[in-house]
Amino acid sequence: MNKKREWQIVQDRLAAAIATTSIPMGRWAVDDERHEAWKRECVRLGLEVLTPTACAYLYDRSPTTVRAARRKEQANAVVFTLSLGGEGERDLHLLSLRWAETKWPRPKDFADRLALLRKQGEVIGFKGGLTYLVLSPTSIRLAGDSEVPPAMMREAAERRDRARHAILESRGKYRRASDLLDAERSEDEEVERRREAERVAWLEQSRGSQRSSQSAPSIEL
Amino acid sequence: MPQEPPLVVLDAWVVVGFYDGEEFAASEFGRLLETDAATCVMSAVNFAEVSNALARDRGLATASRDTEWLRDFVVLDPVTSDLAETAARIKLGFHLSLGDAFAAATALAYRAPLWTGDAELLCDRALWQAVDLRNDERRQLHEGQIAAGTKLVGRRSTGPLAGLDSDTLAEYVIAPFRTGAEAELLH
Repeated sequence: MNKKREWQIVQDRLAAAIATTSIPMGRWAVDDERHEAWKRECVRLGLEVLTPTACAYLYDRSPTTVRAARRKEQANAVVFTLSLGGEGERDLHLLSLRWAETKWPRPKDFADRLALLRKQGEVIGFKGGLTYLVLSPTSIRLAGDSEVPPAMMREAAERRDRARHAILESRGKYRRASDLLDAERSEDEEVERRREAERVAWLEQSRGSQRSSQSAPSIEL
Repeated sequence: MPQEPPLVVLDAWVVVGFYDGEEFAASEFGRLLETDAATCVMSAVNFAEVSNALARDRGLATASRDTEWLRDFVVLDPVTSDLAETAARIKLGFHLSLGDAFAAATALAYRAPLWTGDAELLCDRALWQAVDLRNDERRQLHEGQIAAGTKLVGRRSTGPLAGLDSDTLAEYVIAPFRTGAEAELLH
């Protein structure tokens, strides 16, 4: 299967998913839930989700930035979820500002940019106030060149290598942790078993007392 | 489709076993680290278990540095209401701790194999796919505990889900995902 066809299948699948996703406007808690489900599906598809805020962080040198940059580097493609309306306006504004700072073809405003991307077939759906903007691997390469400074990418790669070595060096450093975890989990089960036994005993006791109070009148009769 | 990176859901046990030097867990997770062969996902609940076990063993400062490194290698899956509901249902049907139930729910959510060394998660006829990372010594220890009745594994014989057959139980357990955003994605 050629790359173009492969990408089309991913787009179709995501578009179908968007079409069946109901996201009420202004329900940010619900949106968060949906967003996590989305992220999960994207991870499964080998895509990466970056929120506008995370995109903006790409320009900072915080650990979050480095992690985001690393993820971006590894991703086959990036899915931006843009919130339109409500608090999302702030993020959107932030993102368009960030875009404007880059070497991307600078849009007059965000709407122009969005229209352009839609024309290019890279915005695959709108639903209930959220836009899912899916960038193809080609766009990522283009965006990657200008969005993430090479120094930052190097820094991310170095950090990853350091982390890898640090984790490997820690092998065998903890001697009792498995036992502690086992004990914790057994304790969890044991407490639950005890509570269940107490609950059953209490139920039996209360049924018994109910029976005796129900039978009392008949004795009197 | 683009090549999907293999996904592996890690239970706390594997990571703690790796840090512990548990023979098989250490070699398998170590191999994953060295080759970067798969994307590792871990429930935030299980990450809390790792953090807790390491801190109790070696103190806060050491543990927090080690878990910070770990964050760069695993995708931490946050607890959503869908996932919490699924974990609750799994716990109703199987002898599992809450941490185990979240590991199983995460594996079901990603439809990915769960790497673990926890006997409870490695039970027969589990709804999730589990990969056994115990060494022989620990496996024999668990088998002895199960035989002696000190460790309960598998389906619960009492409780509201005891009478359900496996297929119905599976449907019930993943129902929260079906009502969520993944409803159509599961097909």
